[in-house]
Amino acid sequence: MELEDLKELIGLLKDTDITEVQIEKDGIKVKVKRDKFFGHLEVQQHALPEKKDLRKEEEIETEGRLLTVTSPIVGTFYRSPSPDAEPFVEIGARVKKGQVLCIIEAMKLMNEIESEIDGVIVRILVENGHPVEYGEPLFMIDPI
Amino acid sequence: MMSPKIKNEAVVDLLQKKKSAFVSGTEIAGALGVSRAAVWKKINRLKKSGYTIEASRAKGYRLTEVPGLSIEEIRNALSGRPRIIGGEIIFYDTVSSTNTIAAELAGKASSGGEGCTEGTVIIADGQTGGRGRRGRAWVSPPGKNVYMSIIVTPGVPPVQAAVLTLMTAVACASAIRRLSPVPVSIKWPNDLMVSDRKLGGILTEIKADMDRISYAVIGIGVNINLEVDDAPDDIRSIATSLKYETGRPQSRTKYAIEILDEMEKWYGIFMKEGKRPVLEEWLRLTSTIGKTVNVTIGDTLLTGTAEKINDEGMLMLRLSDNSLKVISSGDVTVLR
Repeated sequence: MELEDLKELIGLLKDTDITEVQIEKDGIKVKVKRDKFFGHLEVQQHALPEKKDLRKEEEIETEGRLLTVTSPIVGTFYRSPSPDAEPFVEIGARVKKGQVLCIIEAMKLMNEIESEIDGVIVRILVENGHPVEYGEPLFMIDPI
Repeated sequence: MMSPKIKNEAVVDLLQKKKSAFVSGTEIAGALGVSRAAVWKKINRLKKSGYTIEASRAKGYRLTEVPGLSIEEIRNALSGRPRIIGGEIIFYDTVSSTNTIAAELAGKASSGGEGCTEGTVIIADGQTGGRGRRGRAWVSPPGKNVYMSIIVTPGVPPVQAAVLTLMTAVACASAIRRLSPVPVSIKWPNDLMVSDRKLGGILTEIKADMDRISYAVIGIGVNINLEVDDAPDDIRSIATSLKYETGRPQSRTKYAIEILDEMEKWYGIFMKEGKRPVLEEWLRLTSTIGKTVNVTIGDTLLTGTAEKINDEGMLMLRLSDNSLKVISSGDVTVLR
């Protein structure tokens, strides 16, 4: 994708309420995301996985059975019980059903999010201290 | 003459047995085997720690107010009619945190074990690990303040649960205003303030899935007789207590009863009529709206005008570029 195309894409987003646009073209996936909170633009450009790559195919297959943990409220995402404390979980951590993964805060209401299954944390999708929307994916867990 | 050490409780017991009658210093001294001077000293110390004791040269001493939490009195005051909040009250001398105890109890109940009924209240005389937001400590010396946690199971979706925190602030502020002339107000979302000093705090912890909350533990801490010496340096200038504001010790029992009564009222309104009346009353009691404020969210500092709250109770902050930002959580400091 050309720089000019990117610029145009960003420009399109600027004066709207749209926060995220994803375009796939010529084997390239471009995602333009406007972080609502900080109001800046974030551009991610990934090469799409080659369909013939066996390893990648496996990954895609794995994603299908991954469990996505989503936020039940609008709030702020915290990975640890207090700013000085260790995170509840890291990538690669084995978690048990009922184990606390994070806290979402809204107006001093602390909502501890627990894992619904036994599994391994594959992805952490939000940064500590960032705002999250209702239903926003937070973690991806590979069930054991 | 040297006196053996006498315990607070011994003197208080004696005074309490006589109910509102006077007990002479000689009688107390005789009963406890100490000098009258020791009794006098003890009485003064008790007064300092929040007891109201009337002294008469001719008649002796009379106890008019006990600062110690009278759980009997709270139970009696609340037992008049069927109720949710305070239907069951569990008292602890000193605990780590009433919220922790309440969450354990509610957790057991929600997983089908032996637990508790909705509205159960955990009250403690003191806390060793009183908590605030994000792991901050809540100063909780014994014998001074009200520390309690209320378990509710409103069965609402988690998106509606945040209003519980505003509701609790409304209940506490209303209760305090009824009992004292202290002009308490609410700082968004639920700090109890006297001008720019914090009188009380509320920390709510919920367990929920996407559709509904299984329980909420609402923790309330109100500084009743907290004194300057009780507070660590860093909070001395930002905290206050009812004793400090009124110049005299206040009854913890009375405030606990009034707060629980207001909680019953407002929880009933919330469950029956929804969040609208709660938000309206919150707006009447807040001192944040219309002010220029700093909001700290993690490492980010925003300055703007606290314009209003939205339907969820979130703060709508008007920034210098005239945009309106929705704040779901953060530390608010009122500038002017």
